[in-house]
Amino acid sequence: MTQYSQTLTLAVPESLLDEANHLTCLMGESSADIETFRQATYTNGATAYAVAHTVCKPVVTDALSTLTLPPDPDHVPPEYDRAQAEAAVAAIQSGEILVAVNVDPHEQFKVWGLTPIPSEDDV
Amino acid sequence: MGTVSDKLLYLNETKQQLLNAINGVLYERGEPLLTSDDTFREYARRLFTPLSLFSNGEQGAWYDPSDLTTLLQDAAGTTPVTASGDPVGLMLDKSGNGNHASQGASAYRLTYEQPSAIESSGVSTCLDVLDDAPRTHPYASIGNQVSGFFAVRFDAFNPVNTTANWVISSVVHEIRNIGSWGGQKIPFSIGANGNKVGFGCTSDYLASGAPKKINGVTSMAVGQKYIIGFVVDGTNLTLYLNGQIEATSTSLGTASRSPADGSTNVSSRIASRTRDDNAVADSLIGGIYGGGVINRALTPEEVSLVNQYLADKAGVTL
Repeated sequence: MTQYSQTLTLAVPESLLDEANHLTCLMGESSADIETFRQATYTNGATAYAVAHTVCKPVVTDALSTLTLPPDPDHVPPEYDRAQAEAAVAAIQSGEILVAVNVDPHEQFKVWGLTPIPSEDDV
Repeated sequence: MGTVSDKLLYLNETKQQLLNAINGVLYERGEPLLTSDDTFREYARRLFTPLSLFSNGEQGAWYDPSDLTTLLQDAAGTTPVTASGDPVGLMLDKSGNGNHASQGASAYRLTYEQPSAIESSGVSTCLDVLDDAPRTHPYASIGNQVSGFFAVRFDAFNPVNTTANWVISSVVHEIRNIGSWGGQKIPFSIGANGNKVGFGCTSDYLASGAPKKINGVTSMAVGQKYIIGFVVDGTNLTLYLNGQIEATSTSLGTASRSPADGSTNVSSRIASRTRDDNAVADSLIGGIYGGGVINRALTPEEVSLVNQYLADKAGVTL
């Protein structure tokens, strides 16, 4: 049976992408997680959001539900800043960063009032 | 010269020798054996593997999620995928070309679903095949030959020409300075455009003219498996659904840049495509049961064999 028994859906305001990336690096399993949120692709009409949906182990959802960060893992890169990760947790607490556990991400985006920003690409 | 009965006897002995030889191969693969009632067409179908498409050193890639030895949880390949729900951070290329597909970021990884699928939530999920060395690459289609076929399932359809469920995309990066990306052009993407199989090529990849958007005609259903694919022979495109021709285009145009000219390099993205500053866009909502890309135009017989092979893998009735 997989250890990845939970799913996590996140929507991060464009102004908090850096903070959220430091949090995903702390909670994730790879140094590449510091580049999780790259571009806002959803909007609620006023604010643009970058979104993510991932499977995760219960330890991640437990930490987010209690807003208690684990120690820094070995994989964090030199540019990682725990203070930024803590700022992201504060943004979750204030409701600026949106988090939902074990939901259909596309339904949850509708619940949050988010719609995709149309692509300007021509394919 | 002999009698007709002598010739039939000889033919029967030849068929029996062929049957025995093929059954030897099937036995080694652990697959069910042929019987004397099977037709010659069945002989060819059972003996075929997609790896034979690459026997002359063709560039390309073939992915088979039913082979768990090719799936690993992390991009570094240290943890094997063993159970449904495990993330897929690395999917190995079985063509022998080393075009392995990987994803470093945890949140972008697809997940494995027994017995033979990788699942994409449609939220920035993708695997990237990276090629940092400029070279002639199979993923540049217009003006080159390329074919691609995948067994897929769509769990939702996006509006036509808004966003699409891309199954694989090729990306040409124009390198302006060492270490930085310039413009990005898309030689091809294939997936679902609305509920039709769709092929796309951006206008900036073409020497002139509008972007190429070619859609099939058959409506696909949510949750059902299909074999989608295309063949570009350097000039013309043929788009397929479940082995049947869905659309053709005889005026694809020519590429504005060649990936072999030393000023570009090419990558590809599975289950999504690139957008703007290499952000992930328009990911597949559904599953992939295998498939691949090769830098030549497959023959109609090869198209038939590949479709039947993928159909058998995915449980699709053609």
